[in-house]
This record gives sequence, structure tokens and C-alpha cells, in this order.
Amino acid sequence: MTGEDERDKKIDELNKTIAMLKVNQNQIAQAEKMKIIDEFAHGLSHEVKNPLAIILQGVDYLSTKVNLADPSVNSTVGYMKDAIKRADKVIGDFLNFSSISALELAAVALAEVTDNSLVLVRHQLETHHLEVIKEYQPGLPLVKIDQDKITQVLVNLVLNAVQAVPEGGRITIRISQQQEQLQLNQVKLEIEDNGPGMAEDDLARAFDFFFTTKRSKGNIGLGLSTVKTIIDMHGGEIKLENKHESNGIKITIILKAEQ
Amino acid sequence: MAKRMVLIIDDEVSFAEMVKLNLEDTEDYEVRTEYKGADGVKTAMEFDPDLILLDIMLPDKDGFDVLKDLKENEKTKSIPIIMLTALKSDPVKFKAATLYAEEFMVKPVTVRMLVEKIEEVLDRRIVEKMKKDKPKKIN
Repeated sequence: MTGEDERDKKIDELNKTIAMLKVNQNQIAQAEKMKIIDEFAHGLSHEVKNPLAIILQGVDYLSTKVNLADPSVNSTVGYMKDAIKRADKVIGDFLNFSSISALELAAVALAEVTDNSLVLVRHQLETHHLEVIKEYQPGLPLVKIDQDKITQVLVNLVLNAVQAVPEGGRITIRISQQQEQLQLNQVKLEIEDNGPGMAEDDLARAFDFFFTTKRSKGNIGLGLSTVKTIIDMHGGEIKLENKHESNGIKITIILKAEQ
Repeated sequence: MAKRMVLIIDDEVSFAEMVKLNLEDTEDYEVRTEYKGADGVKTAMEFDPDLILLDIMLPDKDGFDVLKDLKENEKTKSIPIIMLTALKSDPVKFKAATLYAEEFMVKPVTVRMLVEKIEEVLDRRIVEKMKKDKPKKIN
């Protein structure tokens, strides 16, 4: 090896180390941010849930004192109870989101985590008669992830696909290895469906907090932002796009492989 | 049937009073309320309730400390306790369970949910007591 080769090799190693340090630094910053959000969420939860509890007890009391046989009185009481439930769900979802402040990392096979996640949504897949096609590259490196959190991500994404794909549709899950410029090993996971896809405006906002196209179904729009936060905390990347070649959505997740 | 005696220890005065109103409205319960942990322990000893509804976040002392005081006191240790909280997290639930709270409920709760839970805990207690008091077989 010439002196020049030796120098290039050292520069490559240095760049690789710097890249890894940056990823780790981002992860620490993200974890710190989530810790603050978690503390805030717990304070908020206490301050909002207590008044909700008082209102619910009050509505229950008043509903024993009014004529519930009157349809408008009955529906008014029903609307009030539904509104309390909705507000409580918002707080509950926010608490779930905020609880992802710390990761418990372990080196695991992403294919195995994916298969385990699919078991959790088997019922929904069967009910909608959906076909799942798995294309896993053999000999993949392990990924250093929080298994429970990544399972949460996968379940969330597959359930979104289940809702988007018409009955009898198809979900393809692909896992492969890729190397980026700095030669940090990465594992790429793609989830594709053959649903109608999303409007470009909606796609651009899909990871925004409280953005949802399914509010009428009780969705409050924290699902995808939770997914993005978890991936960010892993120092990974996530991309959501309409497929070019056919209908449907393609989600790409890049995770660091065990070096 | 004799009225069930319930003590509510919760610093949310409006909540405690609303629950009292709702339970007493069924005519099956006699309810007392306390808004501080220490007062709650004192009243529990005097009032000797059938059941206590205990909040976790109290101004003078943590609800878990109150739970511990009640369970370590000879006079109050057998009173079933339902922990009520606005916080929902497993470590909290775990901590409550390890300190022998009979049940754990997350606010907001409907009157029906609350009454069902109170009845369930009290019925369970009666069955446990009957089992305990059952005379042993003599061979």
C-alpha cells in the first residue's frame, strides 16, 4: 500500500467516525428533547384530565336529573360525553407519544422484528383479505434498535396500509442492505401498498403533529409523527412517497446497521 | 341494606365533591371527603370506611405514602383502596400494586365505571373474608 493509499484509508476512517459521532449526537439531542416533552405531557395530562374528570362526573350527575327521553336532551348529553372521551383520547395519545424518550438498544435482525410485528396485525390483514409479500435480502447485518419501538413503527405503518388498501389488496415489505457514501452500513426497509396513494399536499404534511385525513374516524394525527420521532431517535431516516410506476404509497426507512 | 361507607382523598375539591354527590345520589353510599393526605389518614381511622378512593398527587404527601401509611396502620390496613389518578403509566400502576392497592383507575371515570369497580372490590373482599373465616375441617 502506498503512502497515498494509507492516507486515503485514514481519511475514510476518520470521515466514518465523524459521521457516526454526528448520528449519535443527533440521537442524544432527540432523546433530550423527548424527555422535556415527556415531562410537559405528564404535567399537561394532570392539568387536563382532572377538569375532564370533574366535567364527566358533572354530566353523569345532571343526566340523572334531566329527561333523557327527550331526544334533544339525550343527544346533547351524548355529545358532551363523546367530547370528553375525545379530549381524553388526545391526551392519552400525546402521553403515548411523549413516552418514547429513551431507547433500549440491542442488535437484532430487522427481518425477525418485522415478522413479529406482522403477527400482531395478522387479524387485521386476514379480515381485509390482504396479501403480504416479503422480500428479504439474505445475509443482512443486524440493526441496533429498540425492538419494541420499531415494532410500534411497523405495526403503525402496516395498519395505515391496511386502511388504505382496498379489500384483497397487497402490501409488499422489502428489506435490503445499502451503503452510503461514507460506507456506514445501513439496512433499508420498504413498505409498499397498492392503495390509491395520497394527495401531494397531504404527503408533504403527513409527519406533522396533529395532521390527519381521518379525523372523522377518531384519528388525531399523532401516528406518523410518532413513527418519525422514533426513527429520528434511532438516527435513521424515513421517507413517504407515492409510487411512480403504479398506484400506492411507498415508505422507506433507513436504519444503521451494527458496525 | 346498610349503606357502604366510602372515603375520598383527593385534592381536586370539585372532583371529590362531584363523586360524593353521585355516589350518595344512588342512596347506597355514605361518603366523606378529604383533600389532604394526612387528613385522609386521620379520617380513615375515625370513620372506618368500607373503601377508600385515593388520588396519587396530593399537596402534602404523595398518594403512595398515604397508601403505605394506611396499609401499615393496624386500624386501616384491611380497608380496600382504589387508587385514582390523572396519570397513566405502567410504572405508576406497578408501584401502586406493590403497595397493595386493590385497584387502579385512570381519570376521567364515569359514575357507572366507578360504582362497578367499588362493588367489585367490596364483593371480592367479602368472598376473601368468607374464605378466611371458614372453619377448618377436623379429621
